[in-house]
Amino acid sequence: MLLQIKNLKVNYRSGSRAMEVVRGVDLGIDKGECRGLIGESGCGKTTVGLSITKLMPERKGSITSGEILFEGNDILKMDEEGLRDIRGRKISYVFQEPFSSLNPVFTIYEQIKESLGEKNNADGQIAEILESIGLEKIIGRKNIYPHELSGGMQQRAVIGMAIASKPDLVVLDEPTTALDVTVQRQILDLIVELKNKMNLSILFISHDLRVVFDIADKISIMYAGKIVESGPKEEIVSNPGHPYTIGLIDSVPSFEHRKKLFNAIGGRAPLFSKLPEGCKFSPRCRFKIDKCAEKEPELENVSTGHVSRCIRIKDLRADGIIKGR
Amino acid sequence: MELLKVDNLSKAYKRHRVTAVDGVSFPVFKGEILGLVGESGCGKTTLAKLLLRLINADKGSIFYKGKDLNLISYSDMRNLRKDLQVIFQDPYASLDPRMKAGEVIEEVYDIHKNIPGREKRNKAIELLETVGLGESYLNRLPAELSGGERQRIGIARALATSPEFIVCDEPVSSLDISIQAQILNLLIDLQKRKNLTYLFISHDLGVIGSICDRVMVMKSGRIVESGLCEDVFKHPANEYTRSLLKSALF
Repeated sequence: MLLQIKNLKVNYRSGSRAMEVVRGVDLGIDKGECRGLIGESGCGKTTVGLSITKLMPERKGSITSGEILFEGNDILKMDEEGLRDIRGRKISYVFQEPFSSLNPVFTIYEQIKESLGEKNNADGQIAEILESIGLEKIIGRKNIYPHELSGGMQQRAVIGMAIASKPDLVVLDEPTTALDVTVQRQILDLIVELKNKMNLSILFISHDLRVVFDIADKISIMYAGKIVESGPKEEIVSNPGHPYTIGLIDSVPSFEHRKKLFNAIGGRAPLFSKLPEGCKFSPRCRFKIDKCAEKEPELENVSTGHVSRCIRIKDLRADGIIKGR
Repeated sequence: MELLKVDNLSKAYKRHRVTAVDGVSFPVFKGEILGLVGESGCGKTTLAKLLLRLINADKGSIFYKGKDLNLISYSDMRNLRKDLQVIFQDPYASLDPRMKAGEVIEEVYDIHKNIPGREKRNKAIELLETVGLGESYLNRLPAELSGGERQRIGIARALATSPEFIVCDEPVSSLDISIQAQILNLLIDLQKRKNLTYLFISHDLGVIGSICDRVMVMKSGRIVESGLCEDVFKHPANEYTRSLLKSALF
């Protein structure tokens, strides 16, 4: 396993109070695998992504416990020098807004060159990168600035910077959320192509189920600071193992679901300052029983490689309630 | 029945040298949900603003119940605005941060002066209940509300004048998926109960396909294809529609 996050906990400070927003996350990514991390706003998914290379601003949040094993070494125990070897070299990032990831006063060419580090034959390597991200015709002219590119091309450039150092892992946090559908399709195709060509491992973070279902090999679903379900994509899509996942899948609008009310999840996600007792999803859960509020469930196997944090899921599945919903 | 009819409507932004809406014609039938889908910059929102006469067209006409909106007086238009309402995309930008939810709704009655003071509050409570919030929200400020709750306030405000036609401009695009489904349910339910007519603008084919009766596909200021959702989704005739459908993730 290339990356293994074990029992990660992160606190955010707000005023004088500390709030735990990542409450014990376990996540693994194999070499060449794309792991999707799905969650709604404020569930802690971005914080998990940033924690991997300790990118959180010190004044805002701190990692209080856990291990992040990268090629067997715990990133959380590394000093700044060790982190510098990893950040942007072995693990790189792509965020939602490409324009804010690019420096407006430098050309795209210079920015890709910079992310290569001090290497000989930069021109040759840059040409290679530009070709792999489909920008060779445009950036071949060296004097192109970020604002001259469309959103999709900007995101291609950012991806080019992220892969320039031939990293092992790329963290993509909502990389297509700001893009139009046709451009989103192109960027997703580009990511898959690069992943296969470079044997990249990917952590793909998104709130959009449809995007994650499209691109990921394995999927984890996060709610209120914890993973509530993890498993192979096919399993999660066809046989989801947690009521939250089921609610999300039932909320996806599509032509097939025409003119029917959605079987939507009621209420809203809890605030971290007011988390409910027991299962954090139970107040919104359509399958809730009294026992759900007693104690927060552990992740348990529902089938091979598929885990769920729900005490009722085995019964619900056995009774055919999930499939027949 | 034709509630609204748009005839050869055009609008150019000269400074940017773009024709945002380029000779668009279509009817809107009473009680339907008409979808308008297209990518950013295609002119969807400009078209919406034209229909509501928030901006004026360069060319062409809009007929509402047979009346040409270009030809009616300012005060008649003011009256007509009760019939034509809008729900915006960003519930963070479309509410005044200093106004309580109750005041947002009551303000509508101040503008349209059709309700005595004391009744305003009761109306506001009733509307808050209609959108699934209730009286306890009267004194809440936008900052105390989630995105979904804010959008419900936006819907209550649009409903305050008992409109017939509502332009929904990307009303669920900035919401989380579980909240998106709740708001879509609310919009579907309101449409049925009040026999409302929607022009439903979205870039998301899934959203359009799930709730619209008819759909228009817009590109570079023009309607490139329109028809019943079933026909357009199953047998797209236009090359651009096909590429949109191919890119969509279902």
